[in-house]
Amino acid sequence: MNLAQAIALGRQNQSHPGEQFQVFLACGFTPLHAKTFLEAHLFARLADRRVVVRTGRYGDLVESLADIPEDARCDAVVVLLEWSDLDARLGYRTTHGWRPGCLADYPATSGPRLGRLRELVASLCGRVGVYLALPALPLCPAFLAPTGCGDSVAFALHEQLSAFAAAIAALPGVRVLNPQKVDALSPAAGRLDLGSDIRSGFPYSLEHASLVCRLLAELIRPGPPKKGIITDLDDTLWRGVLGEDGVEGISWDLARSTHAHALYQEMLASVAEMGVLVAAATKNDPGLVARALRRSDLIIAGDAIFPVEAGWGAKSQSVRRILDAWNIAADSVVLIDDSPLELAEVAAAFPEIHCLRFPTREDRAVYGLLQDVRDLVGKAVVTEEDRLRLASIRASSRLADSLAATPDAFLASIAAEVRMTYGGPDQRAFDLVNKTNQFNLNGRRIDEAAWKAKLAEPDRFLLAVSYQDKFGPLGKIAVVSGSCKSGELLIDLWVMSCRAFSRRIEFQTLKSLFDRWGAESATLDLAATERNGPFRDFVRALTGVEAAGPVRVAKADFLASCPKLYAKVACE
Amino acid sequence: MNALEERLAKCFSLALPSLDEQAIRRASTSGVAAWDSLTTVNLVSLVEEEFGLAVAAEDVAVFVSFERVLELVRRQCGPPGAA
Repeated sequence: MNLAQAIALGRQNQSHPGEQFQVFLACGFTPLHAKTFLEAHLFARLADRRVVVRTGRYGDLVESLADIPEDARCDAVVVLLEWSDLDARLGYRTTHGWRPGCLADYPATSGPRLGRLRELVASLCGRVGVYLALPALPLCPAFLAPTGCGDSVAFALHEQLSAFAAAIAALPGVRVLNPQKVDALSPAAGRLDLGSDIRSGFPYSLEHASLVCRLLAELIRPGPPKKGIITDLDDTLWRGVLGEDGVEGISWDLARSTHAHALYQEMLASVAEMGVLVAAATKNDPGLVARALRRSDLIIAGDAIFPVEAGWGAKSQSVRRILDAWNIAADSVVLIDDSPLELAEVAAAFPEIHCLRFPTREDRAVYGLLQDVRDLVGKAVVTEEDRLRLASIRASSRLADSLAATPDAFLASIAAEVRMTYGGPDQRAFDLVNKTNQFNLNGRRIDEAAWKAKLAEPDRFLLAVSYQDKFGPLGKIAVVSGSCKSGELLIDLWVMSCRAFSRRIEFQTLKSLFDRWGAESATLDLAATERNGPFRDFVRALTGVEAAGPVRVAKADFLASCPKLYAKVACE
Repeated sequence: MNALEERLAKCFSLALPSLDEQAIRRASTSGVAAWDSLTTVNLVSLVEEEFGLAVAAEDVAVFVSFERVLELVRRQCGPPGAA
């Protein structure tokens, strides 16, 4: 996005009727085009909100953060840190600071400044997300040696900055822009515009300003991470064709120059441990595939791949069966295959699937693929529920047939336990609200600031539902929020993971809510979405009618329609 | 209006959105109340971006009217139609 496009987009933003998304931009230099680009990039990502960017005092980034009132409404704080914020002598708008006698003093000035900044960020991040870009401009040529020679004082400054970044990146609610990402996309020599800095106090080139603001907007409103990866096997998970080379002939090692496949397996193993589902779809003999996946030298354990669809039908049919087993939508999935033909066939059947070609025999390109995979499935926080996901999906697939045949007898036999926990928010609850599509009351997504504000409303409750049975725990699988006034529950948020379907947990949840609050009715702020059919099915089971908007359920009607419940319930 | 003028007018329309095409051709700091120092800074950056120029510090002084900026752009980009 160039400046002309950003200004045009900013104009659309300023007349947008949506709810405001308020950002505080802290930088020591003139905010100028950074404000324009940040507003435009955020507006492009948020779409339904009007972005309002406020800026702090000029020349003092650190204390401008201290100026943010505790009760100020703010959805995000963006910090563009530069070397001159740590010591003005490291910028270009002052003089007499580059003398040899000054150099040793730089760390003595920047250390306390970083300490103060750390304190302020720590105090802010409990109530609002803080998004920080570390200094991206090159250090000024103040040091003694030619610029190709590293200077110990400059290294000391970098060391201070790294310690600061490590400390604040560990704080909840803080995201630090990865300098390596900036390095990859913005050439260091093109970042400083000294002409602009001298002319107007804005030190960034337009290209660099736009890039940093785009990356910050992506940190503030990241896309939802993909939930699953479907991988091909031949010339993808390993080098070689199983049917031709045999189980021992396929490889992923340095000796046979097929190590790129080992790195790919390592990436899959890593994301699988984060809770990303990994399945295989391959045109192969199922028996051979089973033997190959039992090889002890596989980097990703064979049993971490589930399901494995091996056969000779169209790959899109395999993908369909995998999606059914996972019970997730195609737009939550990445398909990785070396064959452009296979990718095209699946993309035609499932246009929402994100398809990536595995660059077999192009080792250099594999690095890009590995980065793409991390970008598509990565997330900053991994919860216990993420780690449980594969085990629970395996268990669910075993349950499915039994449930279909004799549901009551089966549910009575599985020793189900439901735990209802009323309390404060956590990361898992927030994640569930923002990624659940099917059993979702109204499909509304919510950002971190709005989530915190909603839960701070007086009289609002937040119920988190956890589940386990004899097959193992599912962890926290549902979240309900609302209030109860004059004997009527008003519920405006209710999501449940698709992994928990068919266990009557939703009935158990509503019964628990009626009991806890002594309510005689519940109004559900239902809104039909393209994908929340399962929630509307639940409402139809309760009321006998098709509803697409808010619906009231009397407790008496609920009790009359509620099927027998078998789970043991604990309430905290 | 030739292509160069049209491109410059586009920069002015972004920096001074309240002006129509005619008013842009006549625009000057003395005649347009909305033209403040921030407008000038934006105009300089938009002109640099649109024409691939680096505006020298002393040339910022010509950013006081459409005509003067047009002269600068013509000078830096060569004869009409060359840019």
